[in-house]
Amino acid sequence: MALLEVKNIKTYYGNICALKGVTFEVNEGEIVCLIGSNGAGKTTTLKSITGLLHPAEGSILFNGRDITCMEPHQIVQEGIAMVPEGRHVFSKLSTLENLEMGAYSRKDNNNIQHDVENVFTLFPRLKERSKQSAGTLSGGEQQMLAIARALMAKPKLLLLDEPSMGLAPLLLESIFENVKEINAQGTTVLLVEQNTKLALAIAHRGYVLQTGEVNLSGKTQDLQNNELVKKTYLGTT
Amino acid sequence: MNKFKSTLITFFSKPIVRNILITIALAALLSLPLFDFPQKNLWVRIIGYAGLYIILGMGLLVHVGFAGMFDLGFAAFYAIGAYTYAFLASPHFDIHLPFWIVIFIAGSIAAVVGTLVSIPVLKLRGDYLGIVTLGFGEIVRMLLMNLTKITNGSQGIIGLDKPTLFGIVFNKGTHFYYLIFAVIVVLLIVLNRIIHSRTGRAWLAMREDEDVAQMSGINTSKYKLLAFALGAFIGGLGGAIFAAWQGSIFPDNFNMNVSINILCLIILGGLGNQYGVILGAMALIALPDILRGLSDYRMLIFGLLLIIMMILRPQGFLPRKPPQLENCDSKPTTKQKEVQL
Repeated sequence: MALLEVKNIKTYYGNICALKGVTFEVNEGEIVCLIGSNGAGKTTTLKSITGLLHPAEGSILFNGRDITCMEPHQIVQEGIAMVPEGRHVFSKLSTLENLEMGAYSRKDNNNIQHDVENVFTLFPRLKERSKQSAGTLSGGEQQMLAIARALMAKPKLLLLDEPSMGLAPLLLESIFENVKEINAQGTTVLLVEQNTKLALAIAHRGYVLQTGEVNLSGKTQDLQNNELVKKTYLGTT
Repeated sequence: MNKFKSTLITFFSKPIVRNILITIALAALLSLPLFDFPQKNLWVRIIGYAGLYIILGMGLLVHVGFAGMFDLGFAAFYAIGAYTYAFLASPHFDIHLPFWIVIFIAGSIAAVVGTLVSIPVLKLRGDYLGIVTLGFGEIVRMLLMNLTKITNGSQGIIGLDKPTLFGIVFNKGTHFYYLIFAVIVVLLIVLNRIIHSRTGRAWLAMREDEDVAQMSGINTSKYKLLAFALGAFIGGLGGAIFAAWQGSIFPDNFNMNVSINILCLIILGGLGNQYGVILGAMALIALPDILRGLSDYRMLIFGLLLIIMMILRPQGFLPRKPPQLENCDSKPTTKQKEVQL
């Protein structure tokens, strides 16, 4: 049984149909990427999973439980954490306070300190900045913080929305290395990314979204060699 | 000049200097009614009135400063509290419940109404919420004005009961002065506890970024309702105290000016800081009376002072300190110590 099963969901913004029946699944331990151009419905899909938007039709199963109609805070408690697009950090709080806010939903207070140390080993830069207010961090550091904060909720499934946005190429690779490491430590990752090349490089499987529908899916090697993907998203012929 | 300013600032920000100043101010305020000086009753009344606005300011602070919900109709809760007292402790319906019970009923009714109003507007943010609350404030005043059979319309309700405590009847300004003083102290303690609790942290996260707060597992609807109810409760409490003190109330006591004044005083005091509310209320409510000697030019000077103040110190007298969560004072852990060695 897959960890996350999205079955034929249709999500609307008012009258506009943004997802016209999206189906995919994420197995435990995988990195799965959703790729597609602007307006394909990638972010909408993530928002539907986290409960920020509710699909009008279809269902979403997580760990065998139906989470389609749950509210965001309940879904966090089920074990899904999302890193929103564009590095939303609590800019007036310190780095450490941001991390503690990420652990808000947890009941096991004693382990929080230990997990803070854990994310600091993953992102040593954050440790140096632990007392600085998050708004003064650089873009890359804020992205690290947003990921670290999501990890503090101890998710089974981590959703990443465009982690590459606005980052310098050098930082990009280190962030993607981090994502691989997070996955190796046992967190399943669902990655939404416009940088198709990078996304396919670290993911196990991928789905291509186009105007609200899944167009293609498969192992990343197959996608990398697919003519359509090459032409539209990788820019090589 | 700048050097002088900076030494002045460091001098006043030393904790010991601050504590001494606060103690002196508290002692002065507490003993003020005990001395005899010219126009004593007037001064007790002015400061007591400012104290009432401190209570109302703290209520609105929960809405605007803590939870980040813009509220332009706070006078509605003030009015509900006051009329609850008038209904339950006056010859109007010939019900005479004791003050100490009625203030809690008044607060609770205001809280229930506040919750009911906020349910449909939970999804609204910012300015839109401001418009809804503005309308709500006016609706309440209109109802008080026009439901003449119940509220006696613009004639108001007069002859309200005076509170009693251990046989003392509260019939002097001084009594209410001390009552309000005590309520403020209790509110300060309660609010201080709340902002350092789980609830306070949830409000903080909501105010900073509602989406991320939701994704961190915070039930934002619940905490919004809670903030609205708590703020309204404090507003209702203030209303009941006002009604008992004044002895008579009229719908016009609760017009939009009151809401705007309360909002002004918490902005002036420094949005989000419960101590700032005290300074803000003293400045905004007491100053016009202190300037009374200037007669006709009074409001002119007052407005000018407000403008100058907001240009020179837009963050208010006492801006919000960034909250320090419990684990934040990082004492060097054993590991770090080893490294230092």
